[in-house]
Amino acid sequence: MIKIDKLSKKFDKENVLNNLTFNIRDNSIYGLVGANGAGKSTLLRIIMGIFEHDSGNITVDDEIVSNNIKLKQKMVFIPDDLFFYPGYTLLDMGKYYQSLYDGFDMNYFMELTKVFNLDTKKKISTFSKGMKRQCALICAIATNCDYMFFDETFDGLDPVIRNTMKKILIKQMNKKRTTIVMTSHNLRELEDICDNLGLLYQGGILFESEIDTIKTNMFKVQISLKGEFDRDNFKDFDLISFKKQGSVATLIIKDEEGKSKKKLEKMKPVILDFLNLTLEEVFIYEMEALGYEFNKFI
Amino acid sequence: MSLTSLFNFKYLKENIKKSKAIILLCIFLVPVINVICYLMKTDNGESFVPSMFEVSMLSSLGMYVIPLIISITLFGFVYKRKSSDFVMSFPVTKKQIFLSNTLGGILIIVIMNLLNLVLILISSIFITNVFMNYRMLFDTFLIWTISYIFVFMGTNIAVSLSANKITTVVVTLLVLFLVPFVHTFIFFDSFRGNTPTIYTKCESEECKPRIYECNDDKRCEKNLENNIYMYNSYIDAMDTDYTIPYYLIVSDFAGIDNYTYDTSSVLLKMVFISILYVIMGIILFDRKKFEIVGTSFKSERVHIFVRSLTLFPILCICYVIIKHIDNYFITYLLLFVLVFAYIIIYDLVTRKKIVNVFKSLASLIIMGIIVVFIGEISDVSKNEAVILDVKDINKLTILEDMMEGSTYNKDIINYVMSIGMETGNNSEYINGIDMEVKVKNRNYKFTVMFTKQQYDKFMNLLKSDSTYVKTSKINSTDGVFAIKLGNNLYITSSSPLYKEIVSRYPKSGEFNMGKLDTDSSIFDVELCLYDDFSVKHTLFNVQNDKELMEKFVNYHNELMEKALTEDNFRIDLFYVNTGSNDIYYQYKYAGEIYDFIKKNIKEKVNVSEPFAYISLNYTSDLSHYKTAVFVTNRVDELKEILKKFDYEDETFYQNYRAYSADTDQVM
Repeated sequence: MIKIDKLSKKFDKENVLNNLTFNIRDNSIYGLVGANGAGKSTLLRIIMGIFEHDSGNITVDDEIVSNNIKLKQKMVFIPDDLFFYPGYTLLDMGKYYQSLYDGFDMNYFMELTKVFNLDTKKKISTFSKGMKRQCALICAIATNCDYMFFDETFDGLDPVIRNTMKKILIKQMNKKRTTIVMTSHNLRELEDICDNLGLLYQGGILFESEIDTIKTNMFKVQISLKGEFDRDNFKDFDLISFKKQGSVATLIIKDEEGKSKKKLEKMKPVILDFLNLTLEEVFIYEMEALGYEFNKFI
Repeated sequence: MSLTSLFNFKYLKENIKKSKAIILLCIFLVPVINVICYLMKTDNGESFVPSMFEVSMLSSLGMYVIPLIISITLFGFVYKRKSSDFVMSFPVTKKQIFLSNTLGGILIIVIMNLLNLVLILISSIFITNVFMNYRMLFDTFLIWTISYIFVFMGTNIAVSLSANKITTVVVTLLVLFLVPFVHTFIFFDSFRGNTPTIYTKCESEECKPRIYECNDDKRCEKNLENNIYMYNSYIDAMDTDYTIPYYLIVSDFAGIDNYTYDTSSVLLKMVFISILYVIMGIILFDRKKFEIVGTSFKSERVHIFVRSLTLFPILCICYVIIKHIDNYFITYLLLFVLVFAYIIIYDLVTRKKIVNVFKSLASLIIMGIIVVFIGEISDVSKNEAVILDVKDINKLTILEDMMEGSTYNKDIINYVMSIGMETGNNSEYINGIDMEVKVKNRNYKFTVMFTKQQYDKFMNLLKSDSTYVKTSKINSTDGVFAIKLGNNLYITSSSPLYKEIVSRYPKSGEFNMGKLDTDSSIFDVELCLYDDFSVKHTLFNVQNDKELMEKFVNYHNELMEKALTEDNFRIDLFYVNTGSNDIYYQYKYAGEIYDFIKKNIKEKVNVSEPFAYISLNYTSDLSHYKTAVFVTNRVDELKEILKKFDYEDETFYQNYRAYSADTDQVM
């Protein structure tokens, strides 16, 4: 488990992380979203022990990461800006990881290169941006580390490769009980893979929740009642949003007990449609409910 | 603490592997060029004893470049965000990275210098005209290995402090050179252009000069009343023992030479400092912040501080310039503009922007005040005239090549000082000898000019002084590895004549100071011995030992007889000595000389009777430009032959002398 407690980090005089507190449970995929400069990459580098924090505590499996080789054997990090040694092939990179990670599985590595149809003997410098990202991810996955940290995970991958990669990561998590932390500034990229999501804003977690809970606790309704109606007609509901166009209103209702649907049906509406919310919509409405304008964050 | 907690060999292996091209270049470049230069030196066929410099010509230059490249290559990841993220994310601690790279760098340096040693060794085995001392070869390896490692450790500290390559180079220069430079600036008057007057005081009769004239100089006369004498050629010298990288620079460019440079203690000092550098490097690298890459330093204050340190030597030079020129406003202005331009260029190169001008100006003013303060303080202490009292001189060191040694003998000290104070007739002087005296922990160097009579007396005093004989090794054959005979012929321990010379010395000959004149006598002997990191030469002549002279003659004549049997034997140049001057001839007269030698080669020579010798350079199918000597008692017959030849013109003679002096120089 990764525990982050009152973590702060400054660059010059600017607060990048400010009293950040949250936990990431084991065997899950945690998505960290936020606008550029929100502190996502800095947080990952601090967790990996590359950067030092100014104050607060951060532990992985109740241990401090800095200078802890045993713990770092269980952690792998792929930054947003990828690095490969000049003239190295994918096989060379695999061997490099193999020499430094005790748990590196060369057979699995070779298997993955076949899945993505990557030439292991070709210089990585000749690969496209997306292929380089695949190379880095393959190397990291083959380490079989307990904790994997991916910054801008799917940047540059085409939709097919992205889906394949997601499947592999989920498989990895299930098979090896891996904890994966991935960042993105694009919420859509993470919604179908993450168990948990955290929104980083101005160095702090503004909003955090389990994806399943968010999606099931909130729903969107298109409704039309006989005669004139307005927001007051729905006073009994935990209404997050109300928008009316003509005779049809679109409602976002928060409902943790599951009683709202029956209550709506009892109102004998002319039109009643229940629609699925995308994760982005959930975030937008949650943010609005907290008094923030979502577009500012992502 | 286990070894694996300090080093990560897998990381080191991979780190070296990824930079193998540049590392291989570092390993091979210097040794290969060294061996090429060495082979070129041996190519003309002349026999010689190589010096340390000749077996490692490029090593001194490489010392300033190769360790820097190795360090920047091994720690190259610290200069870029993505590479530092990549490396630092692996399960390796900063301590392990630093120590593993340090070990790797040392290994590369050792391999490089070992390769140099092996290549020179292999070349020497196959080259017959080189007489190599293998201890010297090992010492060369030792000196350069320690020096390279020293520079490498200094660079590692710079890498730990800085975040871009240019700043690394700047900090390396500061780490290696700033402290000794401050020392030079403070203590070397010659660096600041000061020449303090040094007088000699002598109250006893033993050290008073035979001739001393004041020429109506009132000050001189007043000094004379107080037994104070003027001696202009003193130089206030220091036992500096600077580290090799700094010493090579100051001795070559700043003219600060320390004749008593103690290589052994300097090497120990460099090893000690290197260990300190490693400890400092571990601490600094462990605390290194990887948040800041690509710029000079995280903090602007540190940037200004380091820049100010780099300003120190520049301001010192400005101080020296201002101190020794007329107070032209334009000069001050020009220097100020140049220094400020340096500050701006430094900022642009290391930080890609100009740091606050007012802060820069403030740092410049502060450094300027410090430099002026240090300069003035050290100038003030040197402005007073120094008086050396001869009775305080306890040690005299002869610095002259081939007779280096020390004595504590008061008679010798008094005699030398009395001669040094004389205001005699310059035309009588035959030789000048560089010496050094130690007075109250400071050294003073000077050259004493001798007349023939004084010189002979001085030599006799030296030869009878046991301390000098012991320290100079003039009577010792310990460490002799080659013997050079007159006419540039070398013999090694495998030769019976070599054993004869070594066993009979010093009884066989008299120690003879000065450079061996290869043309003057075939009975000159030069013992080549290796001691204290240099090849030393002891010269003597065996003309007092008739038995040994005969062996010399037989040796030469046997070699000549052998040479005559070689296919396509051809004389290029020869000279004949019939007892007085040497006379040179070109190959066009060689036929008759060849016939003369061939006819008389088997004849026994009696060295008690008048004899002449012919020294010639020849080529054959076996030999290229070799020297052979023929000695004969048939002096009159030879003179008759010579009468037929035209005397070669003076120009050719002089040219040949210049050429032989040039090719004869050894360390």
